[in-house]
Parts: sequence; structure tokens; C-alpha cells
Amino acid sequence: MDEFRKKFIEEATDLINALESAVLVLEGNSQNEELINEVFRIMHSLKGGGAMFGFVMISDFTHNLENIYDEIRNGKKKITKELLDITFNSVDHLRSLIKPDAETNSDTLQKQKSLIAEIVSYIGGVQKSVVENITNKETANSSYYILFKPHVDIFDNGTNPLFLIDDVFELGEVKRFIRTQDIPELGRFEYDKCYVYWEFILQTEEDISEITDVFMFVEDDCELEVVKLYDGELLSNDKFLTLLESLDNNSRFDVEEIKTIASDLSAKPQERDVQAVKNKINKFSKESEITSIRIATEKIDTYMNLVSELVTSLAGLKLLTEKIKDESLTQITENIENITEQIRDNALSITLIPIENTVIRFRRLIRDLSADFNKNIEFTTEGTETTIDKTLLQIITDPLMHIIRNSIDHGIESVEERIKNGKSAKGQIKLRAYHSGSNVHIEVEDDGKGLDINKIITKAKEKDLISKEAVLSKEDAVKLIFQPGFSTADHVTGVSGRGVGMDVLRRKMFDVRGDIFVDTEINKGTKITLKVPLTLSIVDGLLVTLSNKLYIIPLTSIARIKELKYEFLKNTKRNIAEIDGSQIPFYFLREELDIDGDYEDEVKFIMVKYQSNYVGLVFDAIIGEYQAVLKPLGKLYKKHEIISGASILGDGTVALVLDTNKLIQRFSDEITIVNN
Amino acid sequence: MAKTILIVDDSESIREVVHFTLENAGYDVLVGIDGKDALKFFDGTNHIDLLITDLYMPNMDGIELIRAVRANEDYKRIPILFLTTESQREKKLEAKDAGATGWIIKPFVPAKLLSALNKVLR
Repeated sequence: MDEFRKKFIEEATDLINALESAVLVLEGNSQNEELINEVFRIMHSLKGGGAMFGFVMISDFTHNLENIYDEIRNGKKKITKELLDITFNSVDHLRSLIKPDAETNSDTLQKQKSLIAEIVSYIGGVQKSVVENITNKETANSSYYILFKPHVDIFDNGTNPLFLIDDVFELGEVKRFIRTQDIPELGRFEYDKCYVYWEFILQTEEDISEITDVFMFVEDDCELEVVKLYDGELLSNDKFLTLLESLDNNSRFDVEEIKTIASDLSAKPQERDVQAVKNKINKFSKESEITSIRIATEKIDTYMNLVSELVTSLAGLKLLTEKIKDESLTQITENIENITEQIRDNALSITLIPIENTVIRFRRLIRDLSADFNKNIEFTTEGTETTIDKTLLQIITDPLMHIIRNSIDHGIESVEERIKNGKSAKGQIKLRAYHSGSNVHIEVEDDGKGLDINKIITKAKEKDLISKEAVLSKEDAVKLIFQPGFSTADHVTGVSGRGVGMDVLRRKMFDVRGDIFVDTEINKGTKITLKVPLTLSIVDGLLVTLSNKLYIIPLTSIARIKELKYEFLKNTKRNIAEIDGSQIPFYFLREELDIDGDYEDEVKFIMVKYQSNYVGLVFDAIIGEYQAVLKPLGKLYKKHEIISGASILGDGTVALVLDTNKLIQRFSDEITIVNN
Repeated sequence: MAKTILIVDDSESIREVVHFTLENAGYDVLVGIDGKDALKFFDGTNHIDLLITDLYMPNMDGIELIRAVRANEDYKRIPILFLTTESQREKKLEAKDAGATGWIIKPFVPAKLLSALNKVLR
């Protein structure tokens, strides 16, 4: 940058010289428009460059000077002897401003002040108004509604609407609504047309003109509406947001309605304390609105069932539409598809409840247990508004309770020990929940002593869980705690240490297609993460075939897929194949399930997780990934544990969803799983 | 292929800063010292993805340059950004009427310049 600054100084010197000679000529030709423009341009260049390269005094000064010449250019002021004097003085002053000591030299600073004062008084009224404008500029946030609906041909003149939207975001805090309902179906979609429009609620301290300026270039090519809603912040107002959302039906807002809401809110006495207002509004809305109704679970089940029927029928309709290839039919199908998706999401959300309810119970538990163990523990939570299927929440409550007990009992050290180890006296247990894809992750993290890997390995050897010579990585060692009958607690306490626990817990998680992970560091703490699917009624699965019948294997349980020769598998001993250096037990499902037919030369070898091992299942072919809506099987099939449900595909075919855990469990009574 | 940007400014230091920033960001850069000088690039042989021009320049100013480019059959659809100091609404409107796509406010830091470019060059 220094180099550029040097360059600018050279350039500024030339510009100042040019300015001086231009002003000299101007003295004799005070009407010469071209000269006036020239003078203005030079000042403008000095201002721009000065600002660019950090010469603040130059840019400040020329800004004022430029104002005079702008007036003259516009014919509002005439060139006078007085003005020329000021300008010549300014030229001299500019010369001193490009000297290295300009910003510290008291003479220069003094001169800058007095000259600017002179310029300001010369412009008089005009400049004053500018000053006023600046001081009166609102610094508090106001809220605006913006509608920006570009003309379909907006791309033609090189405008990218997203550019403007980014600019809106730069103005302040924004809530954006993207309106896509005008997008035509594919047949009539033209790639160079803009079908989308936007609505914003913008909270900014900028003037309304700053907002309209953003759209200046597209004013004629779009529908634009900028309306001031409120002299204050609306986006931090939960009540407003709730009401706004209830108005949002994916098409254009009625601005008057929003304005009414905003003015209703502003009619309430204004409080300095935003939090107090929020609380009040929350309380108010809780009191005045019926936020929930009770519905018999039976009705919900029926509803869910109907929704899945709908999803299935839709798949059939889509197949048909593809076959018929009629544009208007396609459009209707797409509409139905869209609506169906919304209904499905809505249906799923009905059965979801926030985990907050359960967390309250943990608070109590931690309070009581901390007292029992003479430990000082702070329990914090994050993301407890995360929702999860009610049934699942019931299933994971016990595992969570168990994990928290373990943290209190084994994780967090006693106060004395913590202080000795340089930790704060107060132990931390943090529960954090969040969505990740179609799963919910719930983490319980403590800042206790962490798992002692060596102790785990020793214990495992004592209990013959691993061979005496085994060398394990940290990850593998940690996994040992999930082995049946494993507990490292030195004494059995009233709470934990009975050795039932982690293994049971993991099985429970597997039962619901979930998983459990442990992350630990000695003296730093332990983090246990439960991964649970959002819902039990939809499963992401892999569609596979066996004798042309379809089966679905939940993706969560699949580790790897291999294509192998049937010959190779048939010639293995005791159904154990060596795959990439590991011994993998496997099953020919066709034989195990008594299905007619024979395997082809090439078979699909699907490796699924089972306890801490992999087990191979042999299928004929793989169709692909499939999001299956689970339908319960009838009464007659209740005892078939290995099948967790069925799903109906678009063409009406039924696919059975396999519960690989139960499946392998049943088979494994016959052979032994080998550790690898 | 790297995008080609033509920058036009009568101030050598501004030209250099922009040139340096753009070249570092992997663009090919053409440079014009004023509107008249810049016109030589619009001869049909140069591929230009974007024009960035100052507004106040001797010989031929930015507005005239924008008009000339928009009237040139080969180049009339390229995005054009102009450099301007604070919000001079009238000048901006004039540039807009001439056919500019947007503006970049001086002073700018390299990151701001590049993000503005990414938006129009996407």
C-alpha cells in the first residue's frame, strides 16, 4: 500500500499544479464551463484518491471545496474574487497536505480548520443544510417493508438481482421472503428469465433514500415498493415475527396488514428494556392465544397413515405423468407433489415435541445427585427447542439419564480434585441438541476427568473382552465400554457402576436406528452423542432385491457395499469372507430366509453394522436409495421381528424393511461373531 | 479461462490499486486512462467481461464511455460498474440512464471490490 500512497502523492502533486493553472485561467474566463468542469474534476480526483489511500485530510478538505464548485457548475453560484482567493489558498493548503507531516503539523491542522470554515461560510445556507442533514441523521433503527419484483427480462441488461439483495443485507438486519410461485413448470421455463421475487423486512439506521438507491438501476425494470413500517426495531420483536409468519402464505404480503401490525405494536407503551418488552409479549401471547389442542393419538395415527397413503398414491401419479407427458397434467402433478410434501412435513411435525420437557427432569436429577456426591455442578443446555418424535423422546430419556448419571458419578471430579488439577471448582455438564440432516443429535458433554483409556484396556483384558496382547487405538479402546458386562468403576455406587449401561444403551439406540458416539480426552472431559432419527415413520433406505422381491435396508446401518463373485463366497469356510484384510461373517439371505431361486454370478455384498462388527448380507441387486414411509404390518406379521415394516413404492409394489440387528441376532445364534 | 476486466480511470494510483487487486485475484486486466483511450479496446477483437470506469475523466468522461459501449453491438451486454465517491444521486442516475449496471463506492478495500465483482460476473 505504501507504494500506492507514494504514487498518489506524485499524482496529487500533478493534480494540484493542474488545479492551480486551471484556476489561474479561470480568473480571466469566469464563465468558461469547460474550465469549471475541469476544476471540479480535479478536486473530485483528489477527494477520491485521498479517501482511497488514507489521506483523510485531503478528502475532507476537497469534499468541502468540491461543494462550492458543484454549485457553480449547476449555475447556483457565480465565481467571485473572494472565491478565487479561497481557491488559491486552498491550492497552497493542499500542497502542505501531501507532505508527510501533514496530520501532525499544528499549523496545517489550524489552516485546515480555518479554510474549511471559510468555505462553509461562503456556501452559506447550502452547506448549512448539509451539516444539518448529517447531524439529524437518525442513528436509531427503523423498520421497512421492501417488495422487489424484477421484471422477467431483468437479466437482459446484465443485472443480477442477487447483487441487489446482497446490498439490502448490507443495510442492516433483514428478514427475507423468497417468492417462487411464479416459476412455471419446466416445459415453459426459460432459462434467461427471472421468475422469482422477494420481500424483505429490513431494520436499518439508514435513510429510506439509501434503500431506494440500492434499486436505482432497476427501478424501471421491476416492481419496487419501500414502505416504512415503524420507527424502531421490528425484527427483534417476537410477537411481530410470529404475526408476520402467520401472514406468510408464500405469496405477496398485504403491506397494509403488516403496517397495521407494526402500528399496533408501536401503540403499546415503549419500554427501554427490550427484554422486558419481549417477556411481556411472550407472556401476553401465552395467555391470550390457544397454542395447543389435545388430539387423541389414534387420530394422529390415522392421519399419518393417510398421509403415507397420499405419498404413495402421488408416486403412482408421478409415474403415470411421466408416461403420458402432457404439459398440463405435469403441472397439476407438480402442484400436488408440492402440497403433498408440505402435508407430509406438517404431519411429521405434529408428532414432534421439543426436548425441553425432558430436560427439566434432568435439572432436578443433577441438583439432587450433585448434593449426594458432594460435587458442584452447573448444568447448561442449548437447543432444547429442538423437536423429536414423542415416542423416540420417551425411548432416549433413559439413556440420557444414564449418561448424565455417569458424568456426575465418574466424569466430574470432586471439588478438591478439580482445584488440585487447576480446574474451576464448579463442574460443567452441557446438553446440546441440534438437527443434522434427518437426525437429531443430542450431546452430553462434561468437563470432568475423561475416560482413562489405559484403565479401560486393562479392565477389558481382565475380563477377557480382548486378548492380553491386543494393542488398541484410542477410538477402539473407547468402544470397549459398549461391550456387555463392562464397567470401570472401582466401586459400585448407588447410581452407576453396575456394568449394565453403555451396552444396553447402545442396543436401545440401534433399535430405533440411532447411534451413539463417545469423544473423550483425559482431564478435559467426555462428550457422548446420541444420534436419533427425526421420526420412526420415515426411513432413508437402500432398495435391494432378492428373487425380484424388494427389500429396504436402513441406510444408517449400512457400512459398505461390495460387488463379489458368488463363487468366492460359496467357497469360504464357515461363511466368513476375507474382505480387505478383515474377517467378515456373512449370510446368504436367500438360504436363511428360504427364498426360491439361485444367486447369479455377481452378487451384492452389503456390510451392515452389528454391535462393534460388520456382517455381510448377500443380495441379488441394488436398485438405489429410497426414502420409505413405513407402514405397520398387519397383526399376522407382528411376530416377525426381523421385518420392521413395509413400504409401498410408487408403482404399488411392496418392499419389506429389514431390521438388520434383529436379523443378524437371529442368525447369529447359529454361528459365532468373530472380533476383528 | 480468466475473466477479462477493463478498468478506466484517469488517476494512475487508483488504476494501479485496482489493477493490482484484480490481477492478484486472477483476472485478466486491461487498462484505459480515460474514456477516449478505453474505446480502443472495444474494437471487436478483445473479449471483455466487465468494464469498471471512473465517471470524471478528461477527454471523454465515464458517462460518455458507458453510452458508447452500450451503443456498440459487440459489447452492449457487458456489465458496467462505475466508481464514485459518496452517494451523488444525480450522477448515479445519469450513469444509470447511460446504461451502467452498478457502482462501487470509493474508497474501497480490495475485498469489497472483489465481492462487488463476483456479484456481477457470476
